[in-house]
Amino acid sequence: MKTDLSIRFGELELANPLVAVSGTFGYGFDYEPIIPPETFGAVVVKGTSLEPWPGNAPPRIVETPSGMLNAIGLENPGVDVLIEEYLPRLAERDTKVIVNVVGRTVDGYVGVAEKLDQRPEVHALELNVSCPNVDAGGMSFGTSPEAVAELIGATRRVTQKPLIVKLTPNVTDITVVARAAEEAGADALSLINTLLGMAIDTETGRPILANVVGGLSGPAIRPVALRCVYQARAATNLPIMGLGGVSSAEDVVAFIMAGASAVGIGTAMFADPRTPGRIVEELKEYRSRYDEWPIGRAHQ
Amino acid sequence: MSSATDADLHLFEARVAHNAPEGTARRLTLAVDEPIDPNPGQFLQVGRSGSETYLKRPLSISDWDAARGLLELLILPVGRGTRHIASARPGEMLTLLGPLGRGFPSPDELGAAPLLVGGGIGSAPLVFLARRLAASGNPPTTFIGASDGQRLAGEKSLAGCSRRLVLATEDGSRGEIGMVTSVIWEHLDGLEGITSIAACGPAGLLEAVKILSDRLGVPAFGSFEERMACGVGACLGCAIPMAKPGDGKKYLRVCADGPVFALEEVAIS
Repeated sequence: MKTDLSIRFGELELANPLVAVSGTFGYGFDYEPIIPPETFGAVVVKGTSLEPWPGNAPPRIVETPSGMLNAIGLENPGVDVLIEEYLPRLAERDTKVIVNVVGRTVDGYVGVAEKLDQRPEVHALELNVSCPNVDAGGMSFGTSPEAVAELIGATRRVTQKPLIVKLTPNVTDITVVARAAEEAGADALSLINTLLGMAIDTETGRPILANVVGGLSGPAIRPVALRCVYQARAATNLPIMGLGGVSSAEDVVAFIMAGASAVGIGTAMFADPRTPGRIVEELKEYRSRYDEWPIGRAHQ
Repeated sequence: MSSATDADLHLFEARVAHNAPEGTARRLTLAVDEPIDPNPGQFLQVGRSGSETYLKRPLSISDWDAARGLLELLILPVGRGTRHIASARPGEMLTLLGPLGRGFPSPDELGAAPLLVGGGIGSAPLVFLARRLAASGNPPTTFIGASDGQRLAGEKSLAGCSRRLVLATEDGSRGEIGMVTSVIWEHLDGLEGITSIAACGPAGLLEAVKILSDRLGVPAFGSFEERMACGVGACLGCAIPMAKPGDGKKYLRVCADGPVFALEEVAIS
């Protein structure tokens, strides 16, 4: 069945709504040949900082009911290595490339954005605002509407690339930060990042993760993510990438109906790498039911 | 060092041909139709339907009969995931991703007189390695140990493809009494001419093997484990500290850079 699954996500025309989310798909090639990067409408590459970040000590992950906790610590080789080694390879493949940008200071984010601004391989930047803000005592940028706005403003000044802001669910009201991002000039939102959690080894009496706390992902967080997308859709006019526990074509359609025009998949690939290919195949049947993608239908 | 290429990655179903007890572990024999070509030390991400756990489980390949397409897994049921896989019934299908990771160096690289050291279920991948070494004309000298005789793994197969097999148990129920890494020192005279050491077991065993290899002046390789999610190098979950960090890099990935490392490459903890 030849069905056009294309969808417009802000300024990006995606071949299909499915997006490989940051930190779960490396730089696009680790799962070859089972999951080629062109399976996705877009690939969001690993969180990238100005300088290399070594990441956290192990253990970095622990399985939980219907999901997992991770505290990788945003290990990455830095933006220069991304530009030299990975972007050229990824540019040869038929998918949109989004770079997830991380920093500990506003200057850190701005430095990465500046270096990527002239790279034709990069179609958009995703600002990961869940990083601890060193200048604000380590509190995450994403929990403060003012800090998010400042970050977007500063990044906007150095790049013309579409700016997607990835919101954290670890806030009282996600619509406050979503509105702040819209007013500050963000082009799109992606939500949600992981939920903060922890696990304890009852034999040793110690936290399992060396970092003590980590981010919860997987099907366990899907209802929370869907709720956040629904709320953000109602509160702003920005295009939304919905993500959190997506494991089936039905999940993708639910996120679209909540208001998303791109839908991320991550942890489900670990459980079964066949999932993305299966979803894209099954989306064809869903797509044939509608004249156009039912974006935000749940709000009608 | 042998390394997997992208084309080596397979995702496939395999039928459970046999499931038999081996001490406290289970030996699963799988009938594999997929054209895989695993190396000793490589592993598979294994899933069985109906699992309460979300992620697959990384399990080393304990034996591989390429001619008949029979693959063996020696599984110690320690948690919900391994218990579920270890109880798979003959005729059932398991889902496998792999072969994954970098295995042990080739028989050529391990030289004319390799020494294998295994602790507990860690002896599992050494069976496949010993078989390869024997086939290459250089059967290994093998030491395996466990807390008790019920926890010695792979004994029968290792006996068949080792130049010499020494058993050690901490309670003395089988073989010589004591930790395998202590027992080896008592055999030091017989280890002259050893060309390399390949080991798998707990961190304490690998640390002791590192000291032994320094003493004997031979290269040593160990197979490591860590909590794992993707198994293919994408998620960076299974980090292991490098012995010599540099250029802003402190960790390697057990799944993709390992699970076998030269013992001088990593910080054993």
